[in-house]
Amino acid sequence: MNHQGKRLAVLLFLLAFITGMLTGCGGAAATPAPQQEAPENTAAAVKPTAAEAPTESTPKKDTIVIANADEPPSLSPYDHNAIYADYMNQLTYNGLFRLDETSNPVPDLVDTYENLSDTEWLFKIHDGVKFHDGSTMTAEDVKASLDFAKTFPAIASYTASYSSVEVVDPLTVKVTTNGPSAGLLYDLAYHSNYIVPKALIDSGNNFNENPIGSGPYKYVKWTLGDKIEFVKFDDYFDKDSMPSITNVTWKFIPEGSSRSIGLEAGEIDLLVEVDTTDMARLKGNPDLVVLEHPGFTHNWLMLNNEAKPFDNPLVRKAISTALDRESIIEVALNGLASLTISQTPAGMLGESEVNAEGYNVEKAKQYMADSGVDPATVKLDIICSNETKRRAAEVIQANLAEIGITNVTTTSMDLATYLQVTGKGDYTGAIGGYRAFNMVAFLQNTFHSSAIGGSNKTRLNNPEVDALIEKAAATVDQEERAKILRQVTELLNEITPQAPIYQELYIRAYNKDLGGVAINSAGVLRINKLYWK
Amino acid sequence: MWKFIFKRVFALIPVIIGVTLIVFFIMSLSPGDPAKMILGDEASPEAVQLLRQEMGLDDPLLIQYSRYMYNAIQGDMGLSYKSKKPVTEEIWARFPNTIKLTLTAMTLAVIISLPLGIIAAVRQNSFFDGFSMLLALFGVSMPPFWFGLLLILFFSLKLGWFPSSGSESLKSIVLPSVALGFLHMASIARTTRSSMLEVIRQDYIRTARSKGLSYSSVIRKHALKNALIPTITVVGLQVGVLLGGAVIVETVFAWPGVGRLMVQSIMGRDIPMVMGCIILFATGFTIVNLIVDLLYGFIDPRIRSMYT
Amino acid sequence: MEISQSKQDVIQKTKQYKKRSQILEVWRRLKRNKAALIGLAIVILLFLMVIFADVLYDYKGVVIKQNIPNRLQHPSLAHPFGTDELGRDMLARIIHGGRMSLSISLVSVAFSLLIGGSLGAITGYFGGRIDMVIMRIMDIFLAIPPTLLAITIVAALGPSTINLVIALAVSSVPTFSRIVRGSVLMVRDVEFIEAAKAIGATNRTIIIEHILPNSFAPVLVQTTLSVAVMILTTAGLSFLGLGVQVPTPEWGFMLSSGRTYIRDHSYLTLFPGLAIMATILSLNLLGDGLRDALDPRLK
Repeated sequence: MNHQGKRLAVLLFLLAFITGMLTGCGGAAATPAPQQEAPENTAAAVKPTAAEAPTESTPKKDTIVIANADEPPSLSPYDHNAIYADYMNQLTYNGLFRLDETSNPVPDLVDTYENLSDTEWLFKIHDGVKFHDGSTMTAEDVKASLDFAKTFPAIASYTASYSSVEVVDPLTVKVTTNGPSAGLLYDLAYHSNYIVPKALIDSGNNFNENPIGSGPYKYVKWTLGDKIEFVKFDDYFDKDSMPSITNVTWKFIPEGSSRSIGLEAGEIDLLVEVDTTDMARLKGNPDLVVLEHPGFTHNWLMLNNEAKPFDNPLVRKAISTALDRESIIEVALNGLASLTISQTPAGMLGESEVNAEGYNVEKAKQYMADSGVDPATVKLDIICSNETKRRAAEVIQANLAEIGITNVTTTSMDLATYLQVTGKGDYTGAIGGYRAFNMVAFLQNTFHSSAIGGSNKTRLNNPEVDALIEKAAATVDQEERAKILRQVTELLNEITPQAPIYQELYIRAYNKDLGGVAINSAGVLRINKLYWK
Repeated sequence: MWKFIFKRVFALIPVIIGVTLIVFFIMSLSPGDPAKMILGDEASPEAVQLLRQEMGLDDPLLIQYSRYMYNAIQGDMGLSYKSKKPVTEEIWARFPNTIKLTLTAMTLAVIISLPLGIIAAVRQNSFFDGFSMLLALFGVSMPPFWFGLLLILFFSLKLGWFPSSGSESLKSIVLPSVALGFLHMASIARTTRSSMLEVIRQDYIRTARSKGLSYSSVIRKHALKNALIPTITVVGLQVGVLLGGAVIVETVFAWPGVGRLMVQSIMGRDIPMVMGCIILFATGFTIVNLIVDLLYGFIDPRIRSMYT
Repeated sequence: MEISQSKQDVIQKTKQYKKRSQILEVWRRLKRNKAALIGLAIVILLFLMVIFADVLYDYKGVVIKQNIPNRLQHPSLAHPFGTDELGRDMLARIIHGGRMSLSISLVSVAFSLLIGGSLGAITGYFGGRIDMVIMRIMDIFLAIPPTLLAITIVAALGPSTINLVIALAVSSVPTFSRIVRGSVLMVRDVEFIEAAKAIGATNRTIIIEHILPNSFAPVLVQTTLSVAVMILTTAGLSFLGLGVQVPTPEWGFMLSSGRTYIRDHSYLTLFPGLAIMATILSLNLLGDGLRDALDPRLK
């Protein structure tokens, strides 16, 4: 009996101990503090750790450790469409153009260029650009690369603007476009059109395993599942942008909290993907700097315009005006996104909010009544492919219940299934998004009928919209193009193919000793511009 | 003995074939098109269809499966859909990490839970008995990703003792293996305790005691060896559970192992990669159990005689 | 005929008597084990909580009712466990979440017990070719680590509560069939079965009336432990994004989705985590206690 008593005591003690430990380390920093004060409080608690970090003791670092969530599928610029793989591509390759801080194309490999006619462009590249294998770039390499890029279906929409490339002299190429093209320079700045040595293309080089380009960093080693290492390329052609930090280690850490903790503990110098829940704490940490920039990725509640009753524009308008976007952003992204009510992204040429409507329950009910559809009969299933989208969908469920649409379910799907069902139009609703670098590309890929089955997931098939998009794409004059693009946006706002919600913020969090960090709306980050203070 | 090993290894073949068959069909019948996944959002239906044909995804499943197996038997496990690298290369790059993690975790679990179980049995119903059993249970009752995150918060962030992710240094294996090993302490400690209890009650132990041998030497020389047999079985069986747990622990700690690779590949419909991983896991798991069976022989001569 | 009839009556009565006394004996021994009793008490408490969840908190009005201005509130009198990212009361969600967690685990264990148990009983009893074929198939399933099998199945079928149950059930069928088969093999050739055969009992009655009750002990222990494992596996699947669908509360899912808030709002993971821990701990204590109490060698 005595033993039993002891055993019981142990059990209680242990439970108390465990609870103590859990609350102790899980919430010590935040437990007593009200919500608003939490960041400062936590930052103070974290401080000693950062001071202890070994990084502080070394006087001048020659390495930077960068982390994001996903490992790139490939180091070749041609066979993927992933933003996180482009981060790596930017290190080892250059394009003829690149996007500057305001996301406009500026010459990179190109020295001078000339627009010969509506469809003909002359590009002269810098003299003496070295590839990592020691060879010197010529116009032959440019032609071979662009021709090579055209053979990859994954990037087809970025190679469609040009039809042929001719070598004029050893440093000059002539690019002919399919009709007048406003998007050519943007496309040439995209990773799918980066330049590699012709000799390597001819010899069947695997650019995934041997990514030879002319970029500021050379590939060193890929520890699969863990990290990729790069080293400074001493013969980089652009002496003004010569890398200052010798070694780059890029780590892949899937779990958001682990990433932030790595940064706070000094194991990581720069995060390119930050969980919004960690933002307040990172901002409050005096050893870190957090940079936010509105991005071009436009996110929405996608509706299948071919499925009943979402073929009725009034039903779509009712849904769109029923969305309490502020709450959605608050819950899904902790307030870190810019609210959007327009069908096209803000910050791009041709943006407009004309005909767009925000959150208004009364109006939503009116639209619903006008549509002649009984909200009780509306069945909407929202597909979400990640945690953020799932949280957003949960708020949308409650929002739509307000106007009587109570039959709203959510389905979590992995990306593979999501891509398939939404591509095929085998769905009613989904939280989706699209990232483009310019308005023409955005419109072509999301609303043009030719993209049905691909990225036009609302399956909008409107000849008027199509015609306007084509007209804009063929208008090289910027002001004229802006006018047409605004016209499309306003028309789309009227049609409301889907319910816009937010535009993501690009977030970078980094060690305060790191200088030269800048991002643009396309998410481009120039590692060669970074330096240790 | 050798005949037995040979027979067992031979019996592995139909099991592995069965495993490939099941997994191949589950993966192939699941929604989500590998071709669409490779080409991405913007790809036109025509381009996707073209790639499907190129990849042979439109062929009848049985033909796809036979083709896969035909190549696999010749040692060609195919290319990963995602990275286009050979599956074997991708797996071998990560396999040592998974071995390192599971072995360290298992060793840790055994080192801690074996003494816990033995002492608990020897001092049955004492304070220590209760304490050790609860300690062992503590690990199994916490979902590993939560336990892992708490470890990171406490030991990486607060104390700064161990790195929170990666696999570069010796230090970085500590937290993942603790997170994984704790999961397995319960079953090992529990089995050791109950088999020890059983052995202690046997006549020969009493005889040894009555011959005047000290209690501790009886436990060491006689009881332990016999009590270990069920423990070894459990350790062997736990390897399967361990591999399952590794999937989650590897994700939390960004540990570059095969478990995470497999989950990513399942999500990405990277069928050749999933097949490669599952063949590796199933073979490894079955071989471990074979080794366990053989170990019995060394510990228990009665069982050894059965092999010959 | 008459003789055998009366003989069967005797057997029947003895069996009933034996059964009753056995249960009493097991209970007597279980009572001595305080840890197991605590486990049992917690398990009973959990079941009561789950059964009366609707009485405690209204599902529509409280459990899934969003209140965004009130989101992420730390524990207070109004919300003893705080509120989640949608402003829902965590205590209510924990109580209703337990209903989901426990039902998922219980239903999947029931399925795998039913399928695995009958397969094990049939193969163990008849032996021969059937045994060979079924056990080889089981070997194949046993060669795939259960968590990985569950992940593959859920990923293939798509995440939903039903698919989750299917995956969990399938992944533990081999375990149950092994256990039942093992205990059937142990009693198959003992005397009272032979006696039953001798008096002309059919295979079916022998399996159901004689053999299955004998595998009761190991199966009961395995069931308690399996329920715990299922809860843990569900949590793991949620972590990988393969859990239940919103807004249904479920512990593993709550724990997993609260993990992004683990540092500033630790209560979002603490309470579901503790609920899972308490359940698994008590099930394990109970299982261990039952094992000891049911084991005749440990009298």
